[in-house]
Amino acid sequence: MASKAAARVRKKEIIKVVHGALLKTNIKAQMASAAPPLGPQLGQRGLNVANFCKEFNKETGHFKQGIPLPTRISVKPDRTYDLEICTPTTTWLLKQAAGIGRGKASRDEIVGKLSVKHLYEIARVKSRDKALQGVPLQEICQNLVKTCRTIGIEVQNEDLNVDELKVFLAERKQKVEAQLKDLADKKAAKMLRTT
Amino acid sequence: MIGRNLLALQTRAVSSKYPRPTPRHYKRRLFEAALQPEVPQIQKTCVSPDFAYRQKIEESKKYSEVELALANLVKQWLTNGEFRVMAVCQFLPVPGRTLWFAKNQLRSKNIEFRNYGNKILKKVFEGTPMSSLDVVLVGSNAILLGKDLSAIKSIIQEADKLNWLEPLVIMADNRILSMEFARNLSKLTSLEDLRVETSQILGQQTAQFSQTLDQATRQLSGLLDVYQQQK
Repeated sequence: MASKAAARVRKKEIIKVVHGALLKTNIKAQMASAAPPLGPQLGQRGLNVANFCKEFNKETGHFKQGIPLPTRISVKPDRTYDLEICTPTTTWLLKQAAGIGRGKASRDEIVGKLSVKHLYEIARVKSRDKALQGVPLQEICQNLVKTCRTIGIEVQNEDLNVDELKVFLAERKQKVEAQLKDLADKKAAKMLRTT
Repeated sequence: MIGRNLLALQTRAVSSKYPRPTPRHYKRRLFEAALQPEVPQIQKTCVSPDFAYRQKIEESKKYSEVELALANLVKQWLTNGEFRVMAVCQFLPVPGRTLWFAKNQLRSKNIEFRNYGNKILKKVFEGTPMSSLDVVLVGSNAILLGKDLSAIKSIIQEADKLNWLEPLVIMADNRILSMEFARNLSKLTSLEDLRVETSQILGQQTAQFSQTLDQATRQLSGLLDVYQQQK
């Protein structure tokens, strides 16, 4: 009994997390809000979340709403910060170019097709990033090809055939729907099992 | 009391988290001895720590196939790239982001930053005159490469800005330059100055030579004139 009371009185050991000066996050354009996960991340570093959101949303006014933007926030000791908003994420750009919304779910699955011309244009967009300034365009393109492989997009040297692509995308749409349905079913079955 | 002991025994019997009584009961020991599989006894051999250490060092000197392939690739890249200046630098630990930005900055000044391990570099330089650089390949090193002789200046300037990069030796074409000499070179506005100076010195010599020759002929004619007048 006594030990229980002692345990109740004893305070929890609080481990203070020391955060680094740099915060790397992807924030959706014009959609920064104080809600988790962004709010607590900024709050723990001592920033004024409301002001940050206001500034971020203002700065990303020229983007379409909801585009994921990699953001680098370097927090200074006096709680001011430097905001660096990069170009949209590579995966988002590639998916948009390929006209797909979902990456590969299994090994060797092809979810979309792109030609090297598309990659060149995306590389030119990405080369405007601060982190990629001075990096040769060839290297950026090579990295894009690697990312395409992880998403499951096939890159081809020739231009895309419109008719073939249309058929492919239609087939793909059906497959994705089936995949999503499977997932939903699994989720529902899990819910039933636990309750 | 009895109840508590019984409880402890019971918990001990069902869980492996509690230590088993040692020595085990003789019945149990007999049972285990009977069940032990018959295997040939393994003789343990002792390896002296010194021998083990030497063996470890020997093994670290061997190259795996991947390392050899990388060394070949680097060698090809160095020869195809037609680099004229190479600086071997001491490379201290630095955050990845800083390193990335510094690399890009150096690339914009036509300097390539590479940090393959010393083992790889030693293999790359093996059998070439550059193998004399092996003495500086100790610890953590990186190399800076430039395609032009004027890169010596930019390498020294850029390395001075970075506190985690310290050039140890610079190699220009097939000559190894000490840092003092390289720093003296970097003080010049351009290497063209040296060329102008050299051509000036050479020109001076020829001019002096022709002047001395001219002087002799002029003196001779003067002397002859004087001699004729005296007659």
